[in-house]
Amino acid sequence: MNNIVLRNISRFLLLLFIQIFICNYVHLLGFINPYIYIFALLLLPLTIPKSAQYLIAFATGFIVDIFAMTYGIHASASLVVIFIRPYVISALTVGKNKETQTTVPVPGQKDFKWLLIYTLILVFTHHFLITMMELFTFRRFWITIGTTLLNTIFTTFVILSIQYIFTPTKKRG
Amino acid sequence: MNNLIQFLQKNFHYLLFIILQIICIIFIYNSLNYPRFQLSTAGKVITGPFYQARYNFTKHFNFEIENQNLVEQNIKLLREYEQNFITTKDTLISVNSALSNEKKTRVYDYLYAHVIHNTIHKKNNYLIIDKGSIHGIEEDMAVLCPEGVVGVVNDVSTHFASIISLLHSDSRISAKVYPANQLGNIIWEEGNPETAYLLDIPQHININKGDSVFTSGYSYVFPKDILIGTVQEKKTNSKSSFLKIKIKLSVNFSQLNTVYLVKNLYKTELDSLQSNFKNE
Repeated sequence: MNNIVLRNISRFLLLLFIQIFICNYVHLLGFINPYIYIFALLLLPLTIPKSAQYLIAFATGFIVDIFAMTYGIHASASLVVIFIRPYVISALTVGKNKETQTTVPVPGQKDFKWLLIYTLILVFTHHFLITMMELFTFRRFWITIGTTLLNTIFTTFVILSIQYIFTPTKKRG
Repeated sequence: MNNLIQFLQKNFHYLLFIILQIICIIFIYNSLNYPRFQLSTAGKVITGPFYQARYNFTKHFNFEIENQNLVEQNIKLLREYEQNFITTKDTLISVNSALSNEKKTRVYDYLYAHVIHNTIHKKNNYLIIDKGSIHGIEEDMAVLCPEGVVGVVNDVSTHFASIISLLHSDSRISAKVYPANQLGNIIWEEGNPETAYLLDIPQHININKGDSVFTSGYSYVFPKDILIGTVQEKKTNSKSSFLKIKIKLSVNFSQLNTVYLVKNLYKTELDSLQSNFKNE
């Protein structure tokens, strides 16, 4: 148990560090700006009380906000991601036994397709909310959607790469 | 009442979600106007040291580009020096040139290069730079660095050029010592890469330790008033009527990196004049 807590804390710190010091400065093609700190939220164990999950999401988003000087935007989007996460998981695990729902979604326990859809949905929600809140307008809506989608694909690619690189092969099954 | 408490306990996380979202919305709303400044100044107190740390780390990646920009800016400024021009005044004042009857003619132009090979401890020292004839380097161009005189271009290939350093037994540079304003020649003797000698200064001239030695500009290789060094020691020789003055060179030859090359735009003209002298 202690080990899991420590691993989660260090994961949060590491991803926040990468986000603040590297990813905030990445602007591929001028608009692709990956928000990979959300990966830490995706891997948050489902066994934690929901209230605690919300507080963690809020704090994480707010730290990113402070550094990006977008007060509240990342916090709000992170909260929504954590809020819809259980619904996404239950929607994706139709027909399977309840046991799988309570585990952490890592490559060892879920197949690639499951992880891809799970990450895509949540990352898109997150990125879309951030972009919309930043722009605060519905003008050029489809262009916004398009750039958000490209950004989502890039972030998802980075997240899944990290996931598959750093998971020990014996766990993948 | 009991039911209400139970309901709240069961659905507390929904309530928390809503509360936190409201906090976020308040933040977003406030960041649209005045409180944004308050928050961001408070934020900068926290984030400042982090940005400073990141900058201290990342600044090293940009040194190459930054150096390039600075060198180019230096060239621009060097080209503006007064001693690069010959100023002539028309004695006739025409109507058109009522504002100014001065005419400036550029004599010296500048290029830059990086030293890729350098010796200082040999009897005759040479430098090699990373630019050659395709970059516009020619023989007999003067070579300077920010601290002063370096040498003269000796040989040019397509992409590289060799330079006779000031630390060379054949190097001889026409110099002037200030404030005495007396003309002399700089030579270098084997041994110490930090000092050279100023010759041909008559005994009676009053020269003190610390006087500055500049290029005279008479050779038309070096522009006027480029620092060579400062007087370190004065030796009187009873046999000769000239002083031998030891000079501390201003350039640290062991740390040369970027050098500037001076091109005399009227070199061919001056050369043909000088060859006429020789023929007579």
